[in-house]
Amino acid sequence: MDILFVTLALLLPVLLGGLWLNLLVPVGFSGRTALVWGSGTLLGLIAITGLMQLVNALGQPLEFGNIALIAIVLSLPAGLASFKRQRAHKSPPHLISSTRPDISAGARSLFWLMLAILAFRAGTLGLELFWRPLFPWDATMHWATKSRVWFEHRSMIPFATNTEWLRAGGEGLYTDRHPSYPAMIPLLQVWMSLATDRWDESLMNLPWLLAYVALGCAFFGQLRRAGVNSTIAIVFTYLLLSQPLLNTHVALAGYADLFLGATYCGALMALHNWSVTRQPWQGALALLFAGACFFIKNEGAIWPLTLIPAIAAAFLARREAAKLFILLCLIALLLWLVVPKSWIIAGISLNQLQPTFHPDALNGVFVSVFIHDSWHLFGYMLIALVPLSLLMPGALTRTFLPLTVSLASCVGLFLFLFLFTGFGWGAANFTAVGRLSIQLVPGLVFLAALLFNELLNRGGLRLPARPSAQQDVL
Amino acid sequence: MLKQTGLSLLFGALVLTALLKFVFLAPGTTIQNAAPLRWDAGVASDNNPLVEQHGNAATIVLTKAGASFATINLTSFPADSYAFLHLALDQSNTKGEVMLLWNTSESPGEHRSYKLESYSRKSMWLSTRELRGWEGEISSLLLLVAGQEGDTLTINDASLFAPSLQLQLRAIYSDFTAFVPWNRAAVNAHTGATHVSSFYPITLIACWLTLSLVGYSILSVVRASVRFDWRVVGLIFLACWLVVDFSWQNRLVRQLADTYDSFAGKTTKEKLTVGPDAPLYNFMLAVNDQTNSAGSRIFVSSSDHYTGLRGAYYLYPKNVFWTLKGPQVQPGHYLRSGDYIVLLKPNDATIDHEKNTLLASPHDLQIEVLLRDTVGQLVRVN
Repeated sequence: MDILFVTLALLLPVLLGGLWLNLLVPVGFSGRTALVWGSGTLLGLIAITGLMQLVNALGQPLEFGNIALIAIVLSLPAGLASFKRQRAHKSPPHLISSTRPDISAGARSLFWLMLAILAFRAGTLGLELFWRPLFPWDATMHWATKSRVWFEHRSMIPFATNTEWLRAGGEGLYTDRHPSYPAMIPLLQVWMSLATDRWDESLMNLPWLLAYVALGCAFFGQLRRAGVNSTIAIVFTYLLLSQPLLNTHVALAGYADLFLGATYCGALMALHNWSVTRQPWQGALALLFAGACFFIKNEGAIWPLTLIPAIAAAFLARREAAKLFILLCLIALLLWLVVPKSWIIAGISLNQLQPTFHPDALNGVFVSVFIHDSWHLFGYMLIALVPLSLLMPGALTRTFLPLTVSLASCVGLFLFLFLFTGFGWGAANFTAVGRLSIQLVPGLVFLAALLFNELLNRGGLRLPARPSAQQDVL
Repeated sequence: MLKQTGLSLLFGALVLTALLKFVFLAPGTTIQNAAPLRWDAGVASDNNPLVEQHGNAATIVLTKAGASFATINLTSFPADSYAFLHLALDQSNTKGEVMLLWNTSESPGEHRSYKLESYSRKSMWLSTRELRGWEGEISSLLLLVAGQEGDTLTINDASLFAPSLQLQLRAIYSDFTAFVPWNRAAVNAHTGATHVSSFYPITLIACWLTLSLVGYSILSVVRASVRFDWRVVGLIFLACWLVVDFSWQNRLVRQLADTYDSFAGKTTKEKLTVGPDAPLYNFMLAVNDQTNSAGSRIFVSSSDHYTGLRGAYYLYPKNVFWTLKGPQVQPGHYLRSGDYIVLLKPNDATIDHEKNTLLASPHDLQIEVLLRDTVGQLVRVN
C-alpha cells in the first residue's frame, strides 16, 4: 500500500501542474511535452503546499485524503479539457523531430547517449535518496524540524524565535534556528509523510528527485522552444543536470536551494521566450515562477526582482531601459542611505549588508567556481562564452538582452553579497557560496546554451545569419 | 569532426603530460632517483603481537576497542626524495579510521598524522608533498587503525617512491578514482580532491581542454583541408566534461554501494541506529523514553553546534529548545520545575553530583540526574 500512496503523492502534483499547463500551452512545437510536464511538475509541487496552507488556514487538519481530493478535483477539469484537445489534435509528441530526414546518425547517437547518462544519474541519485536517512546540517536545523512537528500535529503549529519561545514559556509554540523560513519545503515533507502515515526520512525527500527530473524536462523544453535543436538541447540539459553540487542536493535532500534554482530558472526561461515570441502563456509562466520563488526561501524575494529590469529591456528602447535601470539603482541607493539599518528584508538585517570589502571572499568565489569540482567545467565555459558573445554583434545587447540583464543583475547581487557584506564568510569558508550558486547556475546554463546555439547559427563571430530551420546535424 | 576532435584531445593530452614532466615534477631532491623503499611485512610484525604476517601482507588485529599500529619503515629517509606513497589496504573487516603517523629527526617528539580520507584503499597513491609536516628527515612511519574489538586491517603494500612521470600519472588516476564518502560539508562544496591529491581535477582537465583547443586551432591553421568548426570546439569541451563527470559518477556509484550496505532494507529508526550519528541517536532514544510527561520542555545544550542541533532534532516533535548562540544553560528565570536539560558532550556545564546541582546563572539549579552516558547526561529540574 505504501508504494501506491507514495506514487499517488508524487503523481498528484505532476497532474495538478501539468494538466493545467497543458491547457495554457499551445500545441504543435518541439519540446512541448517536456516543457509542459517539467514546468507543470515544479508548479504542481508548489501548488500542493499552497493547498496544504489553505486547508490549515481554514482550520482543518492536514490529512492526505482531503488534500488529495482537492488536488484531484482541481485537476479534473484540466484533465478533461486536455483529453478533448488531445483527441482533436492527433499528432503524438516527439523528443527528436522526426519530420526532418537529415538528422545525422551521430547527432541521434549523441542524443541517446546523453539521455542514457542522465537516466543513470537520476537512478543513482534516486536510490541514494531512497536509502539514506536525512543527512545535511540545515535540513535538521530548520527545515525538517517543522515537518516533524506539523506532521505529528497535522497542523502548522507556529514556530517562534528562541527569545519569543523563552518569554512565552514554550506555550503553544515551537522554536528552531530559523522559525520564519517559508513553509514550502517542510510542507513537501509533511505531504509525503501524510501519504504513508508515518515519518520516513527517506520517502519524505522523494520530491527532490522529482524536482531534479522536472528541472531537466523544463530546461530541455524551453531550449527547444527557443529554437535550439534537440541534440544541443539535450547536451546542455546534461551539462546542467550532471553538475556535482546540484546532484548532491538531490542525494542529500532536504535543502531549498534546488527548488529555488529550478523555479528561478523557470522564470528566466519563460521570460526569455516571451521576450522573443511575446506569447502570453510564456509571460504568464514567467510570472507564476517568479511569484513561486517567494514561497521557497528568503532569497526567493530577491531574485525575481532581477526580472524587472529585464522586462523593461524587453519593452523599452535600450537607451530608455538603461536610463530606467540607472534610475532604479539610484533609488535603491537612496533607500539604502535613509532606511534604518535595523530593518529586516528577506530575512536579512540591513546591518549585515553594510558594504565592506572582503578580499578572502573573492578567493572563495574564485576557488568555488574554477578550482573546486562543484560545477565541473561550467565556470570555464562561461568565461569562454561571454567574451565570445561580446564579439558577436547584438547577441547580448539585442537578441538575449532581457535574459542578460536579469542574469547580470543576479550575478552582481551575488558578488555584492559575498564580496562586500558580512556574508563574505560564507564564501571564504565555502559554506554558503556553493548553495547560493545553485540558485543561479540553471539560469546561467540556459544563457550559455543560447549563446552557443547562436554561435553555431551564425557560423562564427559575424553578423547573424538569416533565420533558418534548425538542423540536427553533427 | 570526430577525427579532428580526437586528434585535438590527443594533442592536448600529450602536451599536458609533457608539462607534468618538465614543469611539475621534480627538481630539488637531495637524492636523485632514490631507490624505492619497499614494504616489508616482517618489519611491521616484528616485535608487535597485534600484527600477524602472511607472506608479504601484515594484518593488524584489534583485540579490544581502541587503536593499534604497524610500522611501515624503520630507516630514516629524506622526505623530499619520496614523492609518492603507495598503499594497498584491505579494510573489509573494519569501518574504523586509518591514519598515517610519522616523526621527523628534527622534531622527534612531535607526531604528525594524516587521516586517510579515500576509501579506495585496495590501491591508492598519496602525494607526500601534500602532507602537512612531511619535511626534513622522516625517522619513523606508522599506519594506525582505530576501531572496534575484532576489527582487522591488512596491509598488502606501503612503499615509498621517488618522483617520476609514470607515478605522477598513476597518482592522478588514483585521485580520479578515489572515493570519499559524504561528509557534512558535501552540500556546500565538492572539491573533487583529497588533502593528498596532487592536483584539483578541474584544473588538470581545464588545462587539457585549453591545450586541446590550442591543438585544434593549430590543426585548422596548418591543414588547409580543416575548416575551423565551432561544433568541434563543442565536442572537445563535451569530451573533457565527460571525463571529469565519469570520475563523479564513479564516486556516486561507490557511495551508493556504501549507502546500500549501511541502510538498505531498514526503517528510519533502524537506519539512524547504525548511521553516522548512531551513538547520539541511541542516547536521544533513551532521552525520549525518559521525557514523556505531558507538556514537558526539553533544553538541549552542547558546545559543539552539530551535536546540539542534531540531538535537538531527534527529540522533535517534543517541545525542544536549542540555540546556536547564547548560554548553554539558560538563565534560571527561564527554567521551571519539571524541565529537562540534555547536556551533550562536549559541554561546558558543570554538575555537582554530590549536591545534585547544575551550575547556572543567577543561581545553581537543583536537579535530578536521570541518565548518564558517554554521550551526555539528562537531568530534570526540581
